[in-house]
Amino acid sequence: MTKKSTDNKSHLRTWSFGRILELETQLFDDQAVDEATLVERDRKIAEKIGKQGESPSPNRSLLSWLKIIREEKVQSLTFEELALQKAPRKAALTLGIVYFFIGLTLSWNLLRYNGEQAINVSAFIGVIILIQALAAATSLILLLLGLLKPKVTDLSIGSEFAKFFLTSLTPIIARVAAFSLSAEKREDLLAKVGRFRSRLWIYKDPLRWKFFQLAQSLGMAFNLGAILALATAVTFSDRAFGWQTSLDITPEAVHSCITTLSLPWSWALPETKGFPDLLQIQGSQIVLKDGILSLNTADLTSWWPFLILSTIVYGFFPRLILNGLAHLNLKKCLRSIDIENAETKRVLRRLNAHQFAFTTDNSVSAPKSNPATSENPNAYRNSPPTSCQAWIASTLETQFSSKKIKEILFQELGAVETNELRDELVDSREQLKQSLSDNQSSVCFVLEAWLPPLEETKQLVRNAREVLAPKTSIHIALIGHKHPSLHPNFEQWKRIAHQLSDPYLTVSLHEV
Amino acid sequence: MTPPLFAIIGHPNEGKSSVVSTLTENDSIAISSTPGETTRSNTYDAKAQGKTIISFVDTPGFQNPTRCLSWLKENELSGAAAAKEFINRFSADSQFHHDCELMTPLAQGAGVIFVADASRPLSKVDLQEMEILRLLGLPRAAIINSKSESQQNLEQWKDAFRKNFNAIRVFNAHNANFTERIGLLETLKTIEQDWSPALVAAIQAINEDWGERAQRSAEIISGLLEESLVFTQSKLIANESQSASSQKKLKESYREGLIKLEKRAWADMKNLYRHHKLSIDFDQQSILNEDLFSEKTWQAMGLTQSQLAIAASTIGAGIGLSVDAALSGLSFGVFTAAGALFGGGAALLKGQELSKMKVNHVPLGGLKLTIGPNRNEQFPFILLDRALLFHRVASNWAHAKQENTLEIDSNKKKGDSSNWSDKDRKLAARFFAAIKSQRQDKLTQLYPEFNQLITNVL
Repeated sequence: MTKKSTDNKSHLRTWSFGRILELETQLFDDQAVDEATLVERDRKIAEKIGKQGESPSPNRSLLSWLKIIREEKVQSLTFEELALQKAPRKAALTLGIVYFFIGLTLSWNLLRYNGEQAINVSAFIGVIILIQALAAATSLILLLLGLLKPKVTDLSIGSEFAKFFLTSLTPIIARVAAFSLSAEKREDLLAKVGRFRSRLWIYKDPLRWKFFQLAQSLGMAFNLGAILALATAVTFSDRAFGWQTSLDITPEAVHSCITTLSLPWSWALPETKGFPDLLQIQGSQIVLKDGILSLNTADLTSWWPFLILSTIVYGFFPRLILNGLAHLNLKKCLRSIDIENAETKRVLRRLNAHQFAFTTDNSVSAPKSNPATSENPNAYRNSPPTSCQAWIASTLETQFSSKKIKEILFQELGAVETNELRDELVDSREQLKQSLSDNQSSVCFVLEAWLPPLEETKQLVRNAREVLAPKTSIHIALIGHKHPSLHPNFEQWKRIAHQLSDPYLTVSLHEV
Repeated sequence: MTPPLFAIIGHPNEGKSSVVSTLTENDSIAISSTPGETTRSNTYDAKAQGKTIISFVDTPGFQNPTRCLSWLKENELSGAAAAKEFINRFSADSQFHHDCELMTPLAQGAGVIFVADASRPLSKVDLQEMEILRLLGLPRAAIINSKSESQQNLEQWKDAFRKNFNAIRVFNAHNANFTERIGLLETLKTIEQDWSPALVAAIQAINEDWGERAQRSAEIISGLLEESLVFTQSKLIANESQSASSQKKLKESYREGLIKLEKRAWADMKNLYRHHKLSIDFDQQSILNEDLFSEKTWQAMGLTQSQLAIAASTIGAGIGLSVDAALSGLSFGVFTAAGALFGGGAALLKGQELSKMKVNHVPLGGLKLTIGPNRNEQFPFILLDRALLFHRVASNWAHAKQENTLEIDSNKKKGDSSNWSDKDRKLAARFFAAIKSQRQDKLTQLYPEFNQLITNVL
């Protein structure tokens, strides 16, 4: 098997961070495209997937779908779009270079020498080595705790900060937007923020590892910069290193400390080679009133191997190890990632309608005998009949027969159990809790399409989510007599679905 | 007398802001098809003769009707006190922000104007909103502001309104003209006896204000005619060789000058009717979009050839009459008859000619090209008709209407002046002639008469 075909196979098996980004970009772009066009596009894609004879598990189908879209896109990509695709990688590289130069500059400044004053190794050790060693140790402890108890990783400062930042930021954005933007722009902005939050929720684990990995890579770049500065300084100039203190610290104590720190390499590079011995430490103690002229030159140059080696061992290596661990965890997360949410299910439904049906155990069933047409995209059936509870607004029954409503719901969701959406359910969370059964695979609120979303309806959805399992599908089916005025309400409902940051919430419009 | 205060209440996206915009002649109020454009209660004053006569509060839509109603029922509260209590209870809860905002004017005892789009079906939440207002017990009227022409649900809405409101009125905020606005205010008089004197005074003030605007518009139109009919443009050139191209440029500049004068007058009228968004760059289909000198404009506007000849003959006859009078009737009215014939004939002959180009030698060398004033007999009628048409549009344009273009069928539309009586047309022709001749005595005599004629037409 050639390398290319192996790559191709692996491409269709697992998600990478780049592919997730690509998927999300595609799903975001699809929002601006009308359903009929998407149905037609995905019909063609489904045919191609069928020809490839791939096993169509949801994951594989999505990966194949994405691959085909990418291949088609590549041919028509503009220079700007191509540049945009490479932007994340380039941004990471740029950030790496920046960190390299920060390490280089900081280290270079700490190694500044004017011939009168020896370089204070305490400052270098403190700034370059100890701080980093502490950060690496903390990360390692959190990482190990996280591996042992996954929930502990939620305690990581970064994710807590991100959570706090987003939670506090959304109402601020809403408040500022209410004053300065038109309703459409404001709602669009909040929908984008909401969508972003829901994506963070879906991808929180791989994202955490990705950022952790990035942080370690940047740390490595920093250390490489610091090491290069140190190596350049000692190679191309004659510098004197010494230590000083106002405290009552004896050279013996410093020697003991240095010996301990040097343990990782002392077996290969012993005293005087890999780190200074007691005499050298005594000989390099700087007393300001005496200056450095009275000190022995050999003693003053004995420190640099220790500085380089400790930067490598306590700065670079822990980052390298953490980077590797993050990489492994990221891969693990990506392998087990649950990519199915409201948006990807829509894609799967379009593919499903034309080619094959997916079942919960990822096996394949026969092609549907009566595929939906692009003229009637709402006719696409979901996965096989599920246990769905539908709550119907009472006004709808004054406009449509219950048979008609059930027919619409069956087309959209399969078998449903219908109930009246009583006021108490909107008014009280307790009532809702009692009414919703938590073993439902999905819940549907059937509402009047001619009414715009209200705060209390949004709260109803939020309450339902609190009652139901996190990944239970919540569906909002809007039903109304065919009229152009339904569309602004539908658009608003779509925005609200994003604003609620619930990746398992969908909205559909049914014009009768 | 404190101006009455009315809160415009309703479900989101029913056209509450549109109603306020039209009633207060304020096109700066944000209106959109996206629900939730209004997030705070804002008070807008309807003004007449510089005074506030009624205040309207544009409010956000109900966001929690079920929960509001449930709370009101539980607490058995009514009136402005209930609204105050509601605000105290829920003001800290961001989910009730819109509901608290809409309760704020109600807590001040404002009257309620409930707005509903009756082209859609009546829903449970609508009934809940009506019930909330009924429980609050403030004076209230309902407005049916249908967004489409569907009448299917109208009766259902009316039935519900009858049970909950003191008065009902159909009012389309996007098309309502002056008469409909007054009609709505008349309706408001009936919902609360105590407010009736203030509303009567308000209606009277609005009517007077409207009359003043018509008068001011007539002055603007007369001013436009006065300026346009004596408008000239000149240019100095070095020698004859530049003459042809300079004449062409001067002709264009002359036309542009006249167009600018017309646009300025239109803008003045637009401001008079408080339209700040209404563009005077009209839709392709609109006759007002046509250039002042376009063939289409000259076909649709102004007088017919015979009407023009008759109107112009009056001026010729007038001149002849003065000659006959000077001869103490010895000429037996020959000059009057000849003058009439000459005037009418000249009008027919000069039908196509706009103005003459004069070329004079300048004493210090070079040439002076002069174009204007306008000698075309049809031109003032065209200008007048366009101004009258523009006025009609501007004065009837509902402030809530967001489109900034006007569509008028140019094929059917004839200028107003062609439908006037011969007497009115002759008065107009005499006024135009007085402007052209720059006879101040005639102008002083005819200006009030002509102004009155235009005011009446407006």
